[in-house]
Amino acid sequence: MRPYFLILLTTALILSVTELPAQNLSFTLGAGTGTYGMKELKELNRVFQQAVPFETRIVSDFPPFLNYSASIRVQDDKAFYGIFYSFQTTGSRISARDYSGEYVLDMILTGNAAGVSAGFIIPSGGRLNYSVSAVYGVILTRLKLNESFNVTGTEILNTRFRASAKDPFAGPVITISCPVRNFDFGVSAGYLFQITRGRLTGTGDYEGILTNPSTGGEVGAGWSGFRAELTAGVRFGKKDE
Amino acid sequence: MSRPGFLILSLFAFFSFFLISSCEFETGKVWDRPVEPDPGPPVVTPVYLDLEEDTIWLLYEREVSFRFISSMQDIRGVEFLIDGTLSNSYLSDEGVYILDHASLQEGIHSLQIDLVTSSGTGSLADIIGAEGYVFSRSWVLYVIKDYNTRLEATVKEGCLSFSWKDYPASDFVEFIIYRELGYNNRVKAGRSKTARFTDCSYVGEGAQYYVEMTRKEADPVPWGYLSLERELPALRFSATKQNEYTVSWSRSKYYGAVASFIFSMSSIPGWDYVSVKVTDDPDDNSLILPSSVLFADRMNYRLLVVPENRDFYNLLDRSRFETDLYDTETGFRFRPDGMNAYQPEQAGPDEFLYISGCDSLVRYSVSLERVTEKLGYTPSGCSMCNFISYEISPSGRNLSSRFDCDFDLMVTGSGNLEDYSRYDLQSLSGQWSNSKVPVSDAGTGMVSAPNSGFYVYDFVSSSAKGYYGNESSGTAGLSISSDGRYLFVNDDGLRLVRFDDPGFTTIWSKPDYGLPDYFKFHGTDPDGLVMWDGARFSKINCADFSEEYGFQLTDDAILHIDYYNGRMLSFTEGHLFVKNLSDGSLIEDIHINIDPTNWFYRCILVNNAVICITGVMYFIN
Repeated sequence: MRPYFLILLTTALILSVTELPAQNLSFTLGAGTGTYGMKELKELNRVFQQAVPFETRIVSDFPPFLNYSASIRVQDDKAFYGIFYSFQTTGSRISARDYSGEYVLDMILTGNAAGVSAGFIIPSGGRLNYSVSAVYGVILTRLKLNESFNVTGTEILNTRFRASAKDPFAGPVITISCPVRNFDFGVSAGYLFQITRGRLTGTGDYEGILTNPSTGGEVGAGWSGFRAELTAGVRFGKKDE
Repeated sequence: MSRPGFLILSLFAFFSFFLISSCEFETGKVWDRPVEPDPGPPVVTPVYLDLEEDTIWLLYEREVSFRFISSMQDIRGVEFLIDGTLSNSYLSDEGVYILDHASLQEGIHSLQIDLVTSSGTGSLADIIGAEGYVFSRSWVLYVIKDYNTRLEATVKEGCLSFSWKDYPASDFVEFIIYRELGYNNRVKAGRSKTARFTDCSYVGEGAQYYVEMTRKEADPVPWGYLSLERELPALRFSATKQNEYTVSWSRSKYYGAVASFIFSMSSIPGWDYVSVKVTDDPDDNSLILPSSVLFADRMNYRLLVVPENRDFYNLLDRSRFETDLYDTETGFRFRPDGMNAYQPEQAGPDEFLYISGCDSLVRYSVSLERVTEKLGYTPSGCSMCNFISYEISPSGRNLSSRFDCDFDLMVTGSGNLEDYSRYDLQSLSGQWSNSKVPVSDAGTGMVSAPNSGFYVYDFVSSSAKGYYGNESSGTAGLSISSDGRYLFVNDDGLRLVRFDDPGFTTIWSKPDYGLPDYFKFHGTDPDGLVMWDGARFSKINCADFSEEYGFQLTDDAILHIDYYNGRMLSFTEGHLFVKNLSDGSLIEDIHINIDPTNWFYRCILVNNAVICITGVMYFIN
């Protein structure tokens, strides 16, 4: 995550010392939700379930969860371009609990995406602005896998695994915004295509590639899915004609 | 946009990033799985369990097969603990546990079986085996080792008795004692409920016993064995100086089992044993031999021990109950080892020499009844027979003998055998000559020349002093007088020759035919000799061959003359006569069955004893 953050910070600093005459510069924050495929990890959870000698349930199976974004955009007439960063997270839980103990297998996925965007504003006569853009970037996935099993107060199992993967992505975004003085409030929707199926490789003290013991195949994150956000932005520079 | 504005924007973006990065997915959802209510403990029943009720007697490695069933909950596993320590565990309700006899020390141990069932609730703890019911059962485990060992025998009131390790287990039936009579021939000797057995049928004939321990519903277990060597009473012959001969036997250890002792004997040759004593008294264990047993007789003696209980007494194999004393010469034994005393020769008034086992020359004192000197030496790597024969002077003071291997001649005094001298005489007698060398008391001897004749050799100066011989006649020296002056020579018959240093003078001669039956130089008179023609015994002066005295002597043979004590030993069939040397009067008549003219039965007379080559003496009282 740190390199993307540095890129973003560096870009912001460059923009802070650069004169951009006759152009609008805007900074937008967003918060929303999304769906995440995570097909391979879901299959892996099924295998994990079968590996324990008692019945378990998947109580969370990579559900839609909050995501956040920040973007800086430069508008030149009807076109605009910029950079963005987004954060998304989801996870799963296999659970079994009774009076004698509890079994939990949690997988927490976080995705830090950074990239560039470009689009244009659809002319309209109303107060609302419509725009269409395309995004492209790289998403850095981090996986935390924690498995614990306690029976009658005794820890039977406590296993951790950490892994990461990098995957490029792309997708379309439609935004509807309502300008109010120097601010823009809007809603955007889009779809994120994860272009490659990257493999989750152990990090830190954890080695190896996450594989499905049932199939022997490598397992990667699947971030593809719909995204929807509420956005709020601020414009700097020349006021729109 | 102003630069401060951009700076504010950048800081805002920076903190926004940290804010949103900290919002990871989390969930508080759990699945509370349903469990069954505790059904209570099941009833566990063994389908089979190869163990006793409460006490186990472990004699050897044992397989314990087991299988259990539970009324409700599943049996999760079975554990076997020895002395509280896990020995083996089975994740099953059945199996075979090995009770390892070898790894356990002898003594008392505990065996515990823990059977674990599930709790029946189906909880997580139940499923992984952390919850359930444990059923335990314990046994006392007695480990018995070293039971099939060699047993020690004792004698109890004259009967064989032996004991073994006890087996106080509840499945004990009895001990069975077997006796092995021969190959693959075991018979039951008895039964015992206790760990002891007394056998009053054993008289010491040698036996092997085997003890088996029998149990209920189990194979017999070898429990011990006893191997007994023959311990029949040993026969012993003894003689007194009064020439009374006795055969005795040791008191039987197993007298309580003996019905009778039957003593019999036979003479050699001939193996017809005649029973001469029967007794049932274990303390009546000797017999003075009857007068029919004569001096120097070779006898066989036998003692038959007849058991009271004749279960194992087989007349066809009676030798098992017999003790023998074979080939025993009758007489006072001066050789306790039973060996012969080869070439006995008088060596003085009270002593004689003999060769012992061909490796030693022994001097024995009649009055002291013991060996007074023994000379042996280590051969130089060829023959082991160091003394085969020797020549002794008429007085018995000096003697000569060949060393083996190098053919040197040993000359020594009979009074101190160790002080011998060694001579290489091959230059005179020829290489590798082993001829005998008669010696005198004067330090001279007769050394045979290679072809004919002989040298008179002076051992003091180690030189030949004269040669007597005629190369064509086969002349030979026979004997030399004590002072070395007179010689018996075989030269166309028998000649008495005087040695004049270096010449020789014939004093008397007799042709080959009609040689005297006995002729010797006198042992104590250097100038005398004795001669016997089969009818008259004479003492003759060597100087002129004149008779000093004589008397009639019509015995079959003169065996030996003891000049020191003035007696002679003669033989007539069935008799040894000890007679006065001066007049031939009878001193002692010894009845015999042997023929002492046979070299194997040769006898001599020394002091008051007749000494025979067979190692026995007869005392003249």
